[in-house]
Amino acid sequence: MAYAYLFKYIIIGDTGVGKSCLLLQFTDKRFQPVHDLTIGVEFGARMITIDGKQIKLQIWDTAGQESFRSITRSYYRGAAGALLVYDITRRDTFNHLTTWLEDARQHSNSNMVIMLIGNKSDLESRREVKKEEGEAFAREHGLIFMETSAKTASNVEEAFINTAKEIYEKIQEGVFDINNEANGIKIGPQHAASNATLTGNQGGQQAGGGCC
Amino acid sequence: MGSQSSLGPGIPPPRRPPAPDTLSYLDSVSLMSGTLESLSGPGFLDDVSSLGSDSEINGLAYRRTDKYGFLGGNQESAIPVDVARQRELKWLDMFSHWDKWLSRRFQKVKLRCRKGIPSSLRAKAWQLLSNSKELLEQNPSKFEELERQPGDPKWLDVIEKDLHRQFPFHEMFAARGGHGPFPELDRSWRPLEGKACVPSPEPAGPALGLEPQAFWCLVQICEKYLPGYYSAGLEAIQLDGEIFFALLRRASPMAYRHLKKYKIDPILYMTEWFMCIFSRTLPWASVLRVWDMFFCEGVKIVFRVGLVLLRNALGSVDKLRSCQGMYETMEKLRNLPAQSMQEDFLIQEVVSLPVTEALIERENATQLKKWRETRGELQYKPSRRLHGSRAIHEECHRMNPPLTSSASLLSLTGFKQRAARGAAPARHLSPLPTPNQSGPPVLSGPLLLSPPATSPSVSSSPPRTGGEALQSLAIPPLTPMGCPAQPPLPVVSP
Repeated sequence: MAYAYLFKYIIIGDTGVGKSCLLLQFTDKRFQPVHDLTIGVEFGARMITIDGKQIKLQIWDTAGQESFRSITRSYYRGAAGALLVYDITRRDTFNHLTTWLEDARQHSNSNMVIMLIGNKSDLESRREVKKEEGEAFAREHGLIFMETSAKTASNVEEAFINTAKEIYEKIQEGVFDINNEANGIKIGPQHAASNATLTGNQGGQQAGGGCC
Repeated sequence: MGSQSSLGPGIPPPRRPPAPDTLSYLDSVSLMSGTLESLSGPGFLDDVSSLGSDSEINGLAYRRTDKYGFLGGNQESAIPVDVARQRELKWLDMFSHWDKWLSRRFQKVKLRCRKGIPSSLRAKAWQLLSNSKELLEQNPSKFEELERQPGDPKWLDVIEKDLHRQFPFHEMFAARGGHGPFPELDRSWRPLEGKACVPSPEPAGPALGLEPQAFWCLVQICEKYLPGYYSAGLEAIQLDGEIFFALLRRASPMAYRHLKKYKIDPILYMTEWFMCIFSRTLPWASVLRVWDMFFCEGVKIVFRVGLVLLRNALGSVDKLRSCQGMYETMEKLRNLPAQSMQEDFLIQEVVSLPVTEALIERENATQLKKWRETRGELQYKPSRRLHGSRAIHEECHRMNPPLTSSASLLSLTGFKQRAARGAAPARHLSPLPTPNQSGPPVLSGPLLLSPPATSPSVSSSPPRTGGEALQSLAIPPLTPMGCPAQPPLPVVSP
């Protein structure tokens, strides 16, 4: 399907926090508690609309295991957005956020939009990490924050879409160089063509103006 | 529309529309395991019809899994009965003079592995090929000893988290209620301390099988065939990724240039292929054939399969047209052309690809040198990789006293104590109660590699729960670990 932009996302966080479930909920609108353990990386994709434009999200879902850390780093390259996920029912997954964030900052481009996600919000009775703590962490590190439930789908759409909105705004502001795929953004074939035409016309007008 | 590229291990992408007379997916799951919720993937709905020959014979009530025990799998057996029978006789003959065959007629053994090991004899053949049978005999009590040792809680925790995510679509795992681990089984899972407990399905072999045979097979894979693959940092995998990429330059210059152009590192696509030896990539029938060759010829086969897959996905101008760009290419690599993974086609291509041990070793030296120049010394130095059966046997016979297990790998944890609290260890469970009646006489034992999916005694009984279901499944699935645990009683008596 034609798209105006393609954004690359990466989902990171400890093992078992629900990264693959978030992805599946977002791409297929279903919850599947039993799924393959991610080895290396998995992919999902979905089309969304922002500001009337079709945007394709290509989402890389990474392995959370410690042993994979060294190779997970190579997945950061060319990501425009990252979902950093922890499990609100497991304190340790929250405590590890700092190292994840360091990794992300170190191996990605500096404009990458990072969304902090406290997943499994449906398990209120087993909660170990307060919402306020998540918010505080996000504030401190300049991240967007949301609590989600891949099981009930609560906030899942919002998490992915808000991240995309943020990236889109950055594009509008000219922060991202959209012609460099290393930034995790690709202009769709359709859009590229219309851009070229637009530039051509503008060029023509300017040339004309100069002539007069 | 949304899509996720991976359906599940051993679950080939849907190829045929469902047959009208099959039960719905949910019916089938509920009959089999008593749980409905856990496996609602749409892939199944499309795939329920793919029946192996066993299922056909057993009738409607057993149309739940393929002959390997995968829900909705799609496997067919194409070998005529008389050929299968002849092959079995040949293999039985080899078994009885195994050492001679290996030392004097290895080429013939190799050829027979390439043709596919008869499924009834596969378990024993893999044990012999990997020399794990000898290890087991030399260390008769080692396994139990290790089981008695207390486990490191750190590894137990990791394993508990991961266990139910190995082959979730295998009936044995599905039977556990899907969501969450089946406690009795999970508690008996033991880590390989000192090795990273990577989420590869390999450890699932001994853990789930609880069979010393499978365990020793795993040891051989980790120590001899693929040393360092499952160690922290995954350096051995990364190094093999570089070797793989260098080999691709010869095998398919076009695919090579394409991947290079879009800066797609090998680690992005080959990690799962190599770590799981394609058990999560290929259709199960192809997995078994690949493993037959892998146990005989070693890592060369893994390289070759990967090269064949890449060549078929990206090896021509035509194929590249649809994947101009990193993203498109990655998507293509996650959705490989089905035809290239089909058993006969794949094996043919793999066999004819000129990638030799010598070539791999040479490239290994080159890439290791590069690695040292750019990244310094390897953090983890695995032992030398042995290229297959013959090398392993030769090494083993050179060594005196006989090969002993490495301590690093063998720190099993408190299985016994835990098992005592939960279910009995699986290897103490009863063997498969009823032989599969569908095959020719000589194949009439349950397929060692195949979980007893089609066994009437399993399928016709009322829905089971937890431990009961487990007990009926004395044989673990052939996890990519590969070494199917043998049931306590020999199934095939030569």
